[in-house]
Amino acid sequence: MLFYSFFKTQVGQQVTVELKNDLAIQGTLESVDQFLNFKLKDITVVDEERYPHMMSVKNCFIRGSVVRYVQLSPPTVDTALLQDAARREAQSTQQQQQQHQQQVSKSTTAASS
Amino acid sequence: MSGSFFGPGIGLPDDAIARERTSFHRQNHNVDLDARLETLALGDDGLGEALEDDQDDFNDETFDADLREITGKDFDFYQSTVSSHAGAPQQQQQQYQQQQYQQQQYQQQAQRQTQPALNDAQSGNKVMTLAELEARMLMQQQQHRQQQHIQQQPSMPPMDFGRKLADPEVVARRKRDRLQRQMELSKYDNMMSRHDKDYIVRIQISQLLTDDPAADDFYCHMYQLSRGTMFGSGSLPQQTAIQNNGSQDAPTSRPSAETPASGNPGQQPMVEQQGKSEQSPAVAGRSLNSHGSSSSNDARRSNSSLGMPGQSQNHPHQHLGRSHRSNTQSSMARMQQQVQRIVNEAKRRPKAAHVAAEGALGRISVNSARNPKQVIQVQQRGHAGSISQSDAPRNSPLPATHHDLGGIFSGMGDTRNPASERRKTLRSIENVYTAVLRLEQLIREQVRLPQNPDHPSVQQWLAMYSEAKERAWSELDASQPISNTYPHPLVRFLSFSKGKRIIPRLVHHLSIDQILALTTTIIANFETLDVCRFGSFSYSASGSLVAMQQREETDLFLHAVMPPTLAFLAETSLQIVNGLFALFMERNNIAWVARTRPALAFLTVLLGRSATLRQAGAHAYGAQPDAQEVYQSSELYNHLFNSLRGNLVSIFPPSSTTTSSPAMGQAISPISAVSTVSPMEDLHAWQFLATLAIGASVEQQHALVSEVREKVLEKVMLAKSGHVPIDIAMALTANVNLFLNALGLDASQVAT
Repeated sequence: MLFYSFFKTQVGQQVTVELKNDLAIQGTLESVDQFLNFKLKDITVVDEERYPHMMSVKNCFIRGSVVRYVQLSPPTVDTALLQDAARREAQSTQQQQQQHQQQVSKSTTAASS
Repeated sequence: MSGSFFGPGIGLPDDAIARERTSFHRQNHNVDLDARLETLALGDDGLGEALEDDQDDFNDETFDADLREITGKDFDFYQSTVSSHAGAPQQQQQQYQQQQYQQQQYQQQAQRQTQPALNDAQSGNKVMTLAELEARMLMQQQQHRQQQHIQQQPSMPPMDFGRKLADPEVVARRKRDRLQRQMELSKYDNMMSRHDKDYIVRIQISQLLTDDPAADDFYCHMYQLSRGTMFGSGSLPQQTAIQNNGSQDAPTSRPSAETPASGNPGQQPMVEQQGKSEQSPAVAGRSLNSHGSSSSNDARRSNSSLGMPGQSQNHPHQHLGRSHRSNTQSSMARMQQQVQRIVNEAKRRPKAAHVAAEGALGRISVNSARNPKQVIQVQQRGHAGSISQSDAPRNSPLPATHHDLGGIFSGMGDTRNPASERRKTLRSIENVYTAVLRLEQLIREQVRLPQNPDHPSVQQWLAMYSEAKERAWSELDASQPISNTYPHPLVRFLSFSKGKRIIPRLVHHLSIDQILALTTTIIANFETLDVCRFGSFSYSASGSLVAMQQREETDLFLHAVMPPTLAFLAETSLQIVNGLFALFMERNNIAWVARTRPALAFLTVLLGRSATLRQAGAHAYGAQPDAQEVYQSSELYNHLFNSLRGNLVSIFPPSSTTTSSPAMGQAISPISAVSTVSPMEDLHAWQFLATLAIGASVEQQHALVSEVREKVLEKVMLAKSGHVPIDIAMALTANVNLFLNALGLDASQVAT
């Protein structure tokens, strides 16, 4: 949940979301959810001419799986804290994996016995 | 082509006008301009008259329909399933006073339609036919709708802002239309009962739950704590109050990605609902807004934080004006209950990421947002961080663009495999980080502990704390005997920037002895530190990437590693200071090391401290220093002085020294030389000289002055010449004065 936690701190900031289909949308991040779907407010498309159909769109909902990049502004990010959070996340993932492996071995032994 | 749309003879209006003019005489001399324009506009070319118009006999048959007859005659699916003619919504509008009568009607009709065997009083009999059930639902629905209707009537003031305000017909019509639309829209409202809705909400919330909110939402939580002031004053007292509760266990706090911080205010509405009036919704509101979509949104609005656009982070104090306060309160309270229930259930039945039925031949993995489907499967080989022996030893040092410059030691590991040395060091750095994070987490939890020191949890906490501290310390490896490996593990540790960064955080938890050991090791191996090996001022090429990195590393060292050690030095006894001083000079080539800023800083503090201790005599930190100690420190001082003698000018940054040889009087060269160097560059040097001067005897002072005379003159000249901006000139003067004042002189006394 690291990215989710991270983007929650970005709510209200200006971000530029670049999608996998090369469409880049700039707007204010309104909200984010656990799947990293984004809702943007007052958007402008970065390359206006290529996407005339977006001219009238003011707010949008972007499914998380189509996002390629999200461009942020550096002052809003606390990199030291982010490093710490990433380390904790890595630790907890490791622990989870170990637990799963234990479960797996338990179930295999249970199945084999 | 486009001109012939309306007919072959019609072109653009211009053409028409032209034609008109030419054919003026042919056509009717119609002076009336309007008629002419009309003919033009309508494209009336007289062809209309030529149209055959006698085929209209069957029109009536085909098109004969009365509008009134066909409106409202959509096929009514609902009606046909409910045989009781439910007296359509249209009647509803007008007859809400006769509701009771209607209800009876419905019931009677329903009864009439149903089987006689099942026919019974409406509420008594549990077994009802479908028709009866629908009739009942419909009745309830209409009741609801009527209530809403009654409620909403007063709350809908005429909103026509003056356009056709006075016209009562229009207003009435609009109102009627609006009501009509609303009725139609809300015809199928309230299909789900509260229980149904709660059920769905529970399912959605359960996706968001976590066992450990502190871990899962770590970044967001800490970020908001660290920037608490940005979110308005209201949140701070909240947060400090919450912090006292620390991170709570999952069952007691509101779980999910919700932070422990918001746990309390979230629960407050429930507790305080009876009591405080204003405070709780405000608290809830503030917590909702300040923690924004972070915590509260997760559990409280489970169908995603996406659903509430009104409460954005930008307006932390935007009060919850959209819904009635009571509404929010009760929904909050219900949300609370939801979460509680889910948590309890989740505890009973922990969800596994993999499901393997008994006797099945495989596992089914349950994907959620927390363990998403892995696009790349990574196998764990052995244990993480194992040194792979298959790596070929690297002959060339790591590329200079490598940011942490740990490669500076790549050729010097004591094993044959420099890459493995590097990896070992990195691994130990990460272990220290892990331990420090654990320590910090424990500190955060400490506030939760009961005051009684005999409580078992307190002791457990203490045990965990000391264990983590031990781990960190051992990983740091500061106390390894000095000459064992070259370079010392601690030195290798500090050659990485992240190693430098963790030091201040670690030192916070260490004991004095440990800090002493750390300082000793650093001093003993000072020469080998990466920041010293760069040479402080001799950048390879002053604009290059490598130079910048070196500079960054040095700065980082000065800001991260030095302060704790210097602070320690500033508070120890003369004995220790002497010892360290001696060690410093013994192990390091002073003349060489003095060119580096860290060394200068160290020496400055050492000198200053010893001078203070010598002169102050009975200080608070201990008994009066022995005569022997005083003597020793003087000896050390002399030793230092002698070893630096003759080289003092070299401690200054090179770009100044290279140009100090041309004649002093010229105004041109100093500018070009020194303007590239800001006053802050040589601040360290001047400070060192000042401290040196303080402890100097007269003869030594003479020596000092004679050596740095040119430097001083140069700076003073520059400052007075007016070729540099005023603030830089002042800074320059201040720097020089550091030194001069120590001697009892001043820059103004310098003969220009």
